[in-house]
Amino acid sequence: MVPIEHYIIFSSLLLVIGLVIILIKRSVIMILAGIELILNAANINLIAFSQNDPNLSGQMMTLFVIVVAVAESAVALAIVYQIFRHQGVSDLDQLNELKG
Amino acid sequence: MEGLNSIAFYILAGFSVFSALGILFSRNVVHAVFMLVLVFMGIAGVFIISNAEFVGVTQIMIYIGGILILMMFGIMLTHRIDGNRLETQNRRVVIGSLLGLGLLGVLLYPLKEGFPLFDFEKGVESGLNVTEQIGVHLMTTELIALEVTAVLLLMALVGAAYIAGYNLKKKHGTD
Repeated sequence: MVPIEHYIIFSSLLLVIGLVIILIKRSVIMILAGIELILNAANINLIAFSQNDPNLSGQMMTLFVIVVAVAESAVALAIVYQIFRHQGVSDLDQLNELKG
Repeated sequence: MEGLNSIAFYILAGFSVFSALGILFSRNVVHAVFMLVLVFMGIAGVFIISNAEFVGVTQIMIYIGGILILMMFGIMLTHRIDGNRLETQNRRVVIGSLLGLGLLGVLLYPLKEGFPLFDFEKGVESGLNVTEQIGVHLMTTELIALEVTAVLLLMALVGAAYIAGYNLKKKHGTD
């Protein structure tokens, strides 16, 4: 069995990579990808800690996290599409007005 | 069998981390999204070898079948497709990476002393496999969460369709 520390190292690496993507990329799509990476890092921890749990609480939580991630990314992409139609940019640094 | 599981874990984890680094270092948005698929595949594999087959299959179906398609649509709708490569710029690379490395240090520093696990005593074996247990839990202990999630999904669907078609509707009305 893989020691729990290695799961934590794996998920920390993914979380940090997702955070750095959010911080340094300028495209909205890339930032959404970073958010998905962070959610997946959290899921890895939940799965790792529920390995020995007879009630499977961690796996249930993971299923709900996946569903919420899907809902979030659908709404976020709709908003991004609307912003692009309004202002013609998909670059966060050029998005500097609230009313188009 | 146990040894095989550990070897598979390290291979899949390394694969995922390197693909994630590929997202970080690639400038092409389309390449980055395909790299994201590789990360999700690796994570689904890790789920499957960690005694969570159902979640692993759900991960493949929802992330790779759903979110990838959504993101490709997003790229096609929000970039000017004119034959140029779809590239993205970086900003504040140094301070961003420093913050990331700092957070990594903070997260990994406590692991130095090991991680004591709560010891679940082996309860009565229910005789069901993991997928069957998940089905039973969804219909008994997690029923309220399941219903709330269903309403949330419906709200997100209606909301996304409404937001994406907001100005289209008005234009049709005046024409």
